[in-house]
Amino acid sequence: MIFNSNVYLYFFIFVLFIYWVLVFSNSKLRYQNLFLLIASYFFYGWWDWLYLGLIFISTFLDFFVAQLIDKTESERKRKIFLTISIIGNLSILFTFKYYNFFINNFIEILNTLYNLTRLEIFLLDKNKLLINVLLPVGISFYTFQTMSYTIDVYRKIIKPEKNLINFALFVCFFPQLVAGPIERAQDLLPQIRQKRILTIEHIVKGIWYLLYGYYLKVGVADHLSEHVSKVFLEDINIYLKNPSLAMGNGSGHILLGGMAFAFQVYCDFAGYSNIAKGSAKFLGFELSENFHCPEYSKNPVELYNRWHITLNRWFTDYVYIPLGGNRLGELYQYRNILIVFFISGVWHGANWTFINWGLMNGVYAIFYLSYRKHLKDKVSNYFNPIPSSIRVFLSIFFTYLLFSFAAISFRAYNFDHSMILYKDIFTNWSWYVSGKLTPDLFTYAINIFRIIFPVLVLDYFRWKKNDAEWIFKTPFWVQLLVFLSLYFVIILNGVFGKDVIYFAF
Amino acid sequence: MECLEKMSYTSHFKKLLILFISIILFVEILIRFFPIYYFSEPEKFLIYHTRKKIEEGKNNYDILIFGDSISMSLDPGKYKNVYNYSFPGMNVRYYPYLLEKYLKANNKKPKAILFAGSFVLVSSGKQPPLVSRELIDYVYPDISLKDYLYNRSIIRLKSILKGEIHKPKEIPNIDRLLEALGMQRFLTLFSAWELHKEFVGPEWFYVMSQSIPLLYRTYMFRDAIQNLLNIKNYQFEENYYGTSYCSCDKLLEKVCLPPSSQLQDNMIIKKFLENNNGFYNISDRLTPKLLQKYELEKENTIKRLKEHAEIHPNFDFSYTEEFIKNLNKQKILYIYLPMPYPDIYNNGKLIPTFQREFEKFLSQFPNAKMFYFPTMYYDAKYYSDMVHLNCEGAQILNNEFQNIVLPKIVEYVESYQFK
Repeated sequence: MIFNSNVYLYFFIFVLFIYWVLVFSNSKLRYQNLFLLIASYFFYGWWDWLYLGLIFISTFLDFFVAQLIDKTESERKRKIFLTISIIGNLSILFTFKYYNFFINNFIEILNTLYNLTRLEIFLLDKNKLLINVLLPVGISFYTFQTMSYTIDVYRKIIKPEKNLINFALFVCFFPQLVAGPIERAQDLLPQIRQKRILTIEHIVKGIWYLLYGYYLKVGVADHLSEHVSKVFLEDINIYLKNPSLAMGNGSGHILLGGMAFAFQVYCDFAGYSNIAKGSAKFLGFELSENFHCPEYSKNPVELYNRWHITLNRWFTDYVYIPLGGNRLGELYQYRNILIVFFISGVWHGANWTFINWGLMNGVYAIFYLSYRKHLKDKVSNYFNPIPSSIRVFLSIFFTYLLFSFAAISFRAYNFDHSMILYKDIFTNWSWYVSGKLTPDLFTYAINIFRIIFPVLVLDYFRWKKNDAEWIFKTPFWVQLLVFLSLYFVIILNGVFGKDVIYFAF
Repeated sequence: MECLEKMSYTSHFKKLLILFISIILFVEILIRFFPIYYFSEPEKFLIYHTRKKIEEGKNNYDILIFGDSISMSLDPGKYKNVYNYSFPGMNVRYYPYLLEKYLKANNKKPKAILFAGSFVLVSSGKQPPLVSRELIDYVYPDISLKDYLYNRSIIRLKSILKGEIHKPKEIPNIDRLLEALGMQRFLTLFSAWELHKEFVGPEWFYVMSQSIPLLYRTYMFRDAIQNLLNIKNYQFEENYYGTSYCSCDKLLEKVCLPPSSQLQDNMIIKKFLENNNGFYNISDRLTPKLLQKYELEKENTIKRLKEHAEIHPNFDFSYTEEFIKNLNKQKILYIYLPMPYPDIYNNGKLIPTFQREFEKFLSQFPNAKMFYFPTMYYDAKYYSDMVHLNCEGAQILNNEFQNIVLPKIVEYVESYQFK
């Protein structure tokens, strides 16, 4: 079930009722955890109970492998056990997410070879090789979470969890199961083990996260999608039926559409993360922050520290640093950055568009780091006469523009589609889009800005105060007004039931 | 000192929470005491207004017309004991529930139900089941929870073991939209309590899950509240819709088009429905832009309908049978009146086959009878979108209906004696 559906509302109210009875009657912690575990399995099984099997495999594998790693002092054996866990988790991920992508590309190569050589050995029946399987929701999130646990045990950062129920709950705690945040064992497991304290403060703060999360998701992201679709088309079937429909957009429209899409993804995903955080607060848990006003980043590197924070932290700790990070010299650092962004692209989806998106962001980061190291001091004199507020504004604007430029590839349905759009950016400079339903550029910009403006205002305060709970530091009437405004916008203007973009990952 | 600070911190959260909830409740109470539905979108208003009319329990009509958006064009004219309760397309199951609701509200028991909806509504059994799209492959109408769980677990597991991997059916976007709209109309017409008694199994869960949020009127009338806050809706324009001025040739004049104020539009709709016993030709509301769109799509639509006219679906009259038998128990007549089709259907197999089979089917029931319009196929020019009659089409139709068809029906109903 999705957070923005009424089924989740019933589910959550029911779970909360039973759970609070258990907590306030001082029942044993293991009953509370067992109940949350059953609820989490129900939550996941709602899509398709058969996919619960994958969670069970991942849970048992890492639970027992971590025990084995802890029990042995032999480095060789520890490495073997760790390898088993990583191969096991990545096999699940590969089979369900990437297998068809690799086969499709493999067959493309064979087709090219056949066309060149006319050797029948290169003729393979595609249908026999492809598997007809749906992507299990949230598979990339929970496999990464369990892998991080085993790696941390291997690195002796944490001790393995001895209680299977606690560990199973860590793997599939429902608020963050399908779209993150990707929690680290040292953050979430201690909370599962300790007695829960629930106060009025938890509830009010939980409401704040829920309100803000739902507002971002149903009040902003799902309204923006309508405008984004005007440039990028509503669904892949429309594009595949008639790819020429993707042509003829003006450069301004595509760039604006890209900016709107980047904002849509932010609100969609950050909204979901906030709902997860709010739901967890009601249960007495504290989840990690996943987004921190990325639209106010002044450079690409800062943006990646504010965007999907838990995933980027994962890549930093388990890929970038083991590769050598910035310790081996500048060129190696750039290589490592490119590797991380390539993997990040692959993580987002089995499609070249995501890989391109990842690589473009990697190139931005490299350019920025290179500029900071070699050029910034030399050119800063030229910029000094410009007032700092304007410099900050321009940095923010260009960082967001670059990010949006890459987001066009993220949104495109395939590589050809992204090329059509990028080509039009540089060749089709028109204010109006003929033969399409898209309004003129100015109206298009106004329509988008009207939707995102309130988020920019709310995020501005959060960015300035560097605090996700900034609202509680404002006067009482401001708090009440913001709470009520968000609530009524959600109820009166929210779009309910639309899927979450990050479910595909 | 710290303790005091903590206390004031806690009381701050309490105060915020109490005020927040109190204001939400206050708004809800206000909305419940205020006829907010007058600010709703016109379709919702039409359905909710009719719901209120039924719930008042003051109706004493002899013949109730049931049907869909096409039969909304039927004007009972001088026959004031006939009322048109047709609504735009909903799930087929709403007819028995509507009658049940009508009778339970202490309205006078009608002598006959004049069914004038599309043939699909009487020949598709109870399909489609009312569940969310993801479950559609595991259910059929009225499936029990036990059977559903069996389908979703054991049968699914068996298919997996056989190597069959389940992929849900792709439903075109337009069908999803129509379904969603149908569901919304359904939920506007009936309360959660009424629907609770009509469904079982997964359908019950689905209908309830959709219906319960509408108990919260702030949510149910979210569109109306937004309109209430828009000054435009208080600026009434000169409008003559429903008067003799707005004849068919003048319908596209500004004074005959729906006004931009939602409140004024709904008041006009209400007045028109009251004066014309539920008749409302929805094509008369079409804007020039929409008419132009239909004109551009006309060729494709004709092509599609020609193909449609040749198909021969498997007719399933089982649900209609259930309905007729139920009417018989209550001593109410069932009369079927097929609405005229665009002449594209004239040479096709579909309509004659349906009418032959349905007439044969109806002959089994003493309380059922089929009547016909003298002209069964109208020229395509009398349709706005090849489905709904335009103003001229509705005039021709009602001329036949009031002068030829309805007098015969009334005479038949008046003379019929239940044994």
